[in-house]
Order: sequence, then structure tokens, then C-alpha cells
Amino acid sequence: MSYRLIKRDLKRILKVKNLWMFVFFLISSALCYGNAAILQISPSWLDYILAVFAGRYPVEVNISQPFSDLPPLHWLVSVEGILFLSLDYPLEDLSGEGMQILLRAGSKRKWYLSKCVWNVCNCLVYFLFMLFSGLIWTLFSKGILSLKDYTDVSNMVYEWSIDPDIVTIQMLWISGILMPFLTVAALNLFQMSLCLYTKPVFAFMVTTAALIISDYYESPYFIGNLGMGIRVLAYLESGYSVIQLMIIPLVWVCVSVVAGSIRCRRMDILSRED
Amino acid sequence: MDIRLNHVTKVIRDVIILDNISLHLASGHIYGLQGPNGHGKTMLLRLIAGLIKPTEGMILYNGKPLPKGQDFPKSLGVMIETPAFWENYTGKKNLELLAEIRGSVTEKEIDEMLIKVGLDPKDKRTVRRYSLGMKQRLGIAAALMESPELILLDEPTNALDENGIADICQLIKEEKTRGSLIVVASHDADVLKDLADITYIMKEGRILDEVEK
Repeated sequence: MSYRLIKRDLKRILKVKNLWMFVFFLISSALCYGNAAILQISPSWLDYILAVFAGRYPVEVNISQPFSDLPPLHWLVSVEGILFLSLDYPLEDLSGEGMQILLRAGSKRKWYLSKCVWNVCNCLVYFLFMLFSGLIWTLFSKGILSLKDYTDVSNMVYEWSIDPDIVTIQMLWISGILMPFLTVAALNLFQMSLCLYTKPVFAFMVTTAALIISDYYESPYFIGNLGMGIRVLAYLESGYSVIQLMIIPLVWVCVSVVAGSIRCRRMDILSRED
Repeated sequence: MDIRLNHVTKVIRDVIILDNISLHLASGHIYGLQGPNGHGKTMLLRLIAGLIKPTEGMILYNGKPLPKGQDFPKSLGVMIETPAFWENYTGKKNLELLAEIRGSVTEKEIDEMLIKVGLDPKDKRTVRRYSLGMKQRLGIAAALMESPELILLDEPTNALDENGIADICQLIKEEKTRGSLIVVASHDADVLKDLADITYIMKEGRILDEVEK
């Protein structure tokens, strides 16, 4: 039965509104195209992908001009876009046909766990969109169609910190793809659990605040830092292992799943009017 | 199936929604809940279905609370709220998707249920193009198709014409003959008079009276 629940949720991933994320990634990748134009070179497919979740190094907040250094917008739009588009579905699915499914599942916990699987798979699909949008830009700019080669465009996006003697392609994949994926999935699950305790809009505000705080406070323990390729690469270079970095989002995942699961069992399923 | 509600009270945001309700419901009977809108009929159905938990009191299914890990009675068919479906699929496809979860109904049985509620299994229209009455019929089909032991129906005759009401009432009576325990909430006294063996009159979350057929 759990398999059937998950299968049914996975079908819901291909909702039309999710295609918005593809548009967000296309816009995000435009930054890379702009940098390439400055350098007058053609970026590779990997360049486009690394640019999306690159982020930036932390900045000192200037109290007299607090808005002079805003968080990197393309990064924020990419992460927030995923969080926003995933916000409604689980709670929407507690009424109408969703309620019929829940009753047939027989257990609120099973229902919740199937939503967790849906959430992670949803993030995976968004990251496939990211790969695809990068591919489109690569073809458009007649760049190198490779996920193993990068150019000075990535070096520029990573603020000229990629030292080819130290940084391997694997490190770039981990920092630019794997860790942002784990971070976004963990934040998404956290947001979904929070929605069971409070209104979705507040849950979204909390995750947004977590991201913005992470932008200004540099530490791997502030989860948003792990969603920025540029910072993950710095952690890897300074001796953190991939496992050490992965533990933080995984702890968020575990806490979110357990907290959501407990809340879900005790929760009343009411109509929206109630 | 046998359901007992022992002094059940439900409070939501400091408002008493259901107030000290005790009932004994047994299979092979139709029970009616009658009363104006907003007086607790739907909440009582939600409570029996397990969708909400009592603030005080207890619900026993066959003499026991629901076992750990199970939040709803196993054999349950429900139509609460206005029926909502996947609008881009046909009525039959909607029922097939729901049936997939328990995996206990064949395509033939789905077709038969659709015919029983007055819908055509071969109809290629999506639910988006259904009238309110057709959606209502489909909602009833969804609740009944798995031959559940416990059936909870909230305003099942809404949006139906006279013939439709007669058909659906007949169908509900057939389910009773099969041995199901059926609870029907309605503001329509005539429908309950025709259907219910015992009708409970509800007001402000309390059961004021019961009328036997």
C-alpha cells in the first residue's frame, strides 16, 4: 500500500506549476551567460550548473547601509523558488480526493512518509530542470557540452577561488550539485513539517529567514551555507570531509521527518473552512 | 461492526463543537444525523471516521480503540464535504486511482458501481465537465465501491433531482441489507425519514433527541 501511495504522489510531481522552476533556473543561468560575455568565452555545461547555486562569500554587514550587500538574488530565487513551489501540495492534499487517499491509507504516518518521499523526489526533478536549463544555455551559447570541463567563467563565479591543483571535478560536483541538493531537500522537508504546526506562509518565512541568516553568518552549521557551492568548496579545501558536511542536512532531514510524523498523528483533519 | 461513542466532546480553538455525545451504532442499520448547518453533524462524521480526535471521551470500534499505527477504521467509505476529484480525469479513472490504494476492487466492479449511481463507465468526459449532480453521484460511488463495513455520508442527496434522490436512497438501503453500518448526515428531514432507522436530532453540538422509524 505504501508503494501505491508513493506512486500516486510521484505522479503529482509533474504538475504544470512545477515548470516555473525551469523558468527560474533559465533566469538564474543567465548570470553565467553574462559573465561569459564579459570574458568573451563560451561557458561549458558544467559552468552553467555551478553558477546556479554558487552563492557568494559572506560579507560584513554595514550597519549604516544595511541593504548595500543583499544576498545573491539568483541563488535565493533558485532555493526559494523550490521551497515556494513545494509549499502547498501536502496540506492541499488533506481535503477532497486527498482525504479519500488518506482514509484508504489507513494511517496518517504512512501518508506523511509518502509526502516526504514526494518532497525529495520533487527536489530531484527540480535539479534535473537545472541540468536541462544549463544544457539549453550551453547549446544556445555554443559552449562545451561537458560536465567534466569548466572554464574561467566558473572561476569568476567562484570569485577566482578554484585552484586547479587542489580542486578536483568531484569537489566541484559535490559543492555545486550534491550539497545544494541535500540542503534544499532538507529545508523542504523542514518546511513541510513546520506547515503541520503553523500556517504555510509562516513556515515559508522561517525557511527564508534561515537562508538569509546563513548568507551573513558563515558556518557549516547554518544550513544555508551548505546550499552555496562557493562556501562548500571552501569547507572542502579547508579539510572538512564530505561526510562531515552531509551530516548537517541529514540531521535536519531526520528531525523534520520525526517531528512531522509525531505532529501528523495528533493532527485533526479539518476542512479549510474549519 | 459496532461503534460506541462514550461521552465524546470536541473542542476546537476554545469552541465546543461536540458536547458530551454518547451513541451506540451497530451494523445493518442506517443512522441519521439531522440538524441545521454548523451544529456538529459533519464534525461527528469526521470523529467517527477518525479524521479528528475527541478532546474528551472515547470511541470504540468493535469494543476497542483503533490499534496503534491505525488512524482510521479499516473498512471505511466516506463522503464528507463537497466531493472533489482529479478534474482532468474521467469519473472512472478517478475511481480507479482511488481503488489502486487498497487494491481490492476490480475494473468490472468499478463499472458496476458507476452504473448503480447513474453514471456511464464509458463516458469520456473529464470530471471538470461534470454537473454538480454527477460529481455528487461520483462521490457516492467512491464511498461505496469497496463495499465497506462502515459508510459515512454527508448530505448525500445534495444537488440531486427527485429521481436521483430516489436512486441514491435505494442504493444506500441495499448497502444496509448487505450488513453495512451507515451514518447519513442531512438537513433534509424527508430523506432521513425514508432512510434512517434511528435519526438523531443535533443542535449546538449536542444530541437533543432521537427518533426511531
